Amino acid sequence: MYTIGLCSYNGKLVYIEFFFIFDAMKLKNHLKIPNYNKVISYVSLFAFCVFWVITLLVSGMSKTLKKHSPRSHFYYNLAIRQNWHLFSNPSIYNKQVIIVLRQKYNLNKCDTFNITQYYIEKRKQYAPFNNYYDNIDHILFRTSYYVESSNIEQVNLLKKQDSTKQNFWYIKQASAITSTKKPINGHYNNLANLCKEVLINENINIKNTEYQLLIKNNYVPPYILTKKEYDVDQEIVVPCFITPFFSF
Amino acid sequence: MIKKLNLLIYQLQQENKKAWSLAFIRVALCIWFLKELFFRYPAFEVLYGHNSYLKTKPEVLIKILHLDFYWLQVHYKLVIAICVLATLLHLFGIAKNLGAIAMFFCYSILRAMNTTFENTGDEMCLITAFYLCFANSYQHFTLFKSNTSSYSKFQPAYNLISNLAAYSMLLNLCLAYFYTGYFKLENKLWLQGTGLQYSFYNERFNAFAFSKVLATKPWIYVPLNYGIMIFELSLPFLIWFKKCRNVVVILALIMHTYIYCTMLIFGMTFTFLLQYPLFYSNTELQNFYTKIKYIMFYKKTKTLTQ
Repeated sequence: MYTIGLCSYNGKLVYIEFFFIFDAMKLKNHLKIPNYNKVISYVSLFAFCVFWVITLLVSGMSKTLKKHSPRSHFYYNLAIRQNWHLFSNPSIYNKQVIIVLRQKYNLNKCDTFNITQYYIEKRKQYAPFNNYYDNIDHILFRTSYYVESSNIEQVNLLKKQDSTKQNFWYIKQASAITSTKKPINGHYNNLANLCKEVLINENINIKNTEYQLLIKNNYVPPYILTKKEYDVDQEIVVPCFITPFFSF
Repeated sequence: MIKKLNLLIYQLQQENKKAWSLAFIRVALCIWFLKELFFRYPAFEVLYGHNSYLKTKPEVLIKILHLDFYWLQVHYKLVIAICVLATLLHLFGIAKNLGAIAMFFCYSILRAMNTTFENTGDEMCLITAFYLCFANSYQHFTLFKSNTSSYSKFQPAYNLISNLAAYSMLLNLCLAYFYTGYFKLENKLWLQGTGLQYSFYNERFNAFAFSKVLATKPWIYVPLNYGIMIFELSLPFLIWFKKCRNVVVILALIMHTYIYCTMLIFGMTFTFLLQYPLFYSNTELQNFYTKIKYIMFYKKTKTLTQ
């Protein structure tokens, strides 16, 4: 590829140019750039298809994949999480976390403080610009859920050893284990700290007092929900976690 | 087959089909991230600090990246400052896709530091930020205008990747709706028509007392229960047809507005609605904009002449 350019102006030879390098570059551009684009395009399209096949499988069969190939499920969910169960499993009860305060030297006097209601009310205030309470409420809900789950495990373990007692006895015993035994008391400690923080924020005197944590589920039978004004007294309250009294 | 594939590639290479919507999503998402950080400010110490009364375990991502979790917790303010900086860079379109990658990377680390308070909105935000790493959202709403005359050698490939990223966002949105509907089909309560009733009854999602009143009216919650299921299952298919698109978008808007206003769920609503402009092409959005402009201008001139 060798070309000479002759340019003339008013019949006179002005300059001679070698277009060798220029022409070669042009040709290179012409040949190579579209190829690069083509390769990138094909690779991108292929990656797009592979990504979407995996995504559909992971999000559609998350439970099965978690069972059979936990590692692949885990790696996929590392950076992006496809977990779309929005209200798919509606809760049939309202979970309540309650702290009971008792004077050390006056065991008959008890005060209760509903931590869940406290955070719900706080969330409603200044919504949607109250991320602080929104986040803490989320943590409270999750922690109480984990505490309840680990308590159920303990209850089952206790029942395996001896199944003659009443259910409430197991819940109390299991709660004592869940709240004191390391390392399963990690979530419990967080829950207790969240509750203590509320008491501090509300300037509640905690000197010479003991506390007890309670998690209960308030069920409403469906026939009550259909009544015009449903009766709160008819809610079925199921305690699922009840600790002994601890001092602050 | 190859001819069709080549044609598809050629079409995707021609232009950034969602330039306006991508730019809008970039700006809105960055503002949302900044808003979240700003209003989370009082909880920073509790959520990320090493002196927090809440003890959290780091996500494995931190171990994989060989980051020192304790150091991150001690210097959590620095981490947040970097997040804000990356968000600002991306908001103004500085550093283009590198800014987007930086933002995604920073928020992934911040999320990995404490996942206990993460909600669906946060998850969707991060997914959108991930897709924006590949998208060309810098044709509009940027601080520095890019020189349009200099046509990059790799512009066709960039257009294609950007279009694929935009379609990924759309597919992700459709996937979210479809699987939500699908998993509702697997639930007994939703099949019996009481799923929505229990959602109304849930105290954590009741901004107003009337939700509990709605839970007592079967003529409201039963049709709505099945309506929502049908809507969520059919949205991913109907929205691609031009004839149904506007109706579907309006219905989704109503549903999300209700959720936003009454159920105390803000992040999810915002991040889902944010992506709806992607269903419209550049010209459709421009036409819509001029229509609104015309209506406003027409009204103004009418009032002035009167």
